[in-house]
Amino acid sequence: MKDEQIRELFSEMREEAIPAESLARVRRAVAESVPSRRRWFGWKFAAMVAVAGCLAVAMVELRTAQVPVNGRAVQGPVVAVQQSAPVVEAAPVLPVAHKAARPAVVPVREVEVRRTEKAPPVSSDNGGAHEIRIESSDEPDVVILLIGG
Amino acid sequence: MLDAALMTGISVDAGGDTFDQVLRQRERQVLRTAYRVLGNWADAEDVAQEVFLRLHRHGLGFANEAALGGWLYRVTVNACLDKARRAKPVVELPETLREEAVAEAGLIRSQEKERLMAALATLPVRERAAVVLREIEGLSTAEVAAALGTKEATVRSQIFHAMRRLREVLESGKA
Repeated sequence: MKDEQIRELFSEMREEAIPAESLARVRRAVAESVPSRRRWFGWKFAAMVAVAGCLAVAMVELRTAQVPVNGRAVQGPVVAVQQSAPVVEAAPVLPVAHKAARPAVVPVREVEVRRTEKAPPVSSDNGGAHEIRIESSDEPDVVILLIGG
Repeated sequence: MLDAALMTGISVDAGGDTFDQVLRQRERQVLRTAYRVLGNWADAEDVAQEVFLRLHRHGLGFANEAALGGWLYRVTVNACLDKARRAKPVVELPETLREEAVAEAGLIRSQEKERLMAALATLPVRERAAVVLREIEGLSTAEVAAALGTKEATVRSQIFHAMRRLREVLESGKA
């Protein structure tokens, strides 16, 4: 058989009919597979949306929980108060300042005493003994002398 | 509508009527190629199903009809090569040929085709695919090379050796 005859047979094969049952089987198999894939895709999409929704809700809840209590209106049980006695208005409480915030108050006397204090004179004739003389401006008659070695 | 969509390169999600249209338009091409390469209808049907499911996943975003046809040939041949690696080819005579042989006077012609199919089955699967695409499907050498993922020179060589082998088998009467 020559090449031309072989090629002629091949070209005739191109025109041959395809068995109808084979075509039908392929169509059926593809049709059965494709919708199931569509359904699977739909379920996957729905699951992803649900997970995203849950995450969003969880994020919102977390953010709300992190807000300080002072900033929230606390809903407590409502208690009815009956006022049988006249309301006595309490005296306004003055704010107590903190100790640290209060300015240091130095007694005037102490300041004056400090002012009158003088540096102790050093005498050279008492053999190295120190003499401290303290005079008060309020009572000029009183002089305190501290003499020590 | 399909041609217009394909020619304009519109990417159509293969999930509606368009995919069904492509299926009906191209099922013969895919089935015929798979059958000639594999030698039996059962395997050819499996391959055709796989090819169209791949097409469904891929979508119809082809530049034109030729691109779609080339893609289908490539996927079909690859699926056939995978199938041929797993199983031995079984050559069977289709019912249509038998009916034609009985009904028509061209009994000898049908027998010759039968012998040629048997001879084709003796070829290595890549050579067989090259001959089917080139000689039966009428693709150019470049298109065959693209479908097989090889060079044009390789395709020419494969077809040359395949034709010589076919001649030898048919002349010796082993087929």
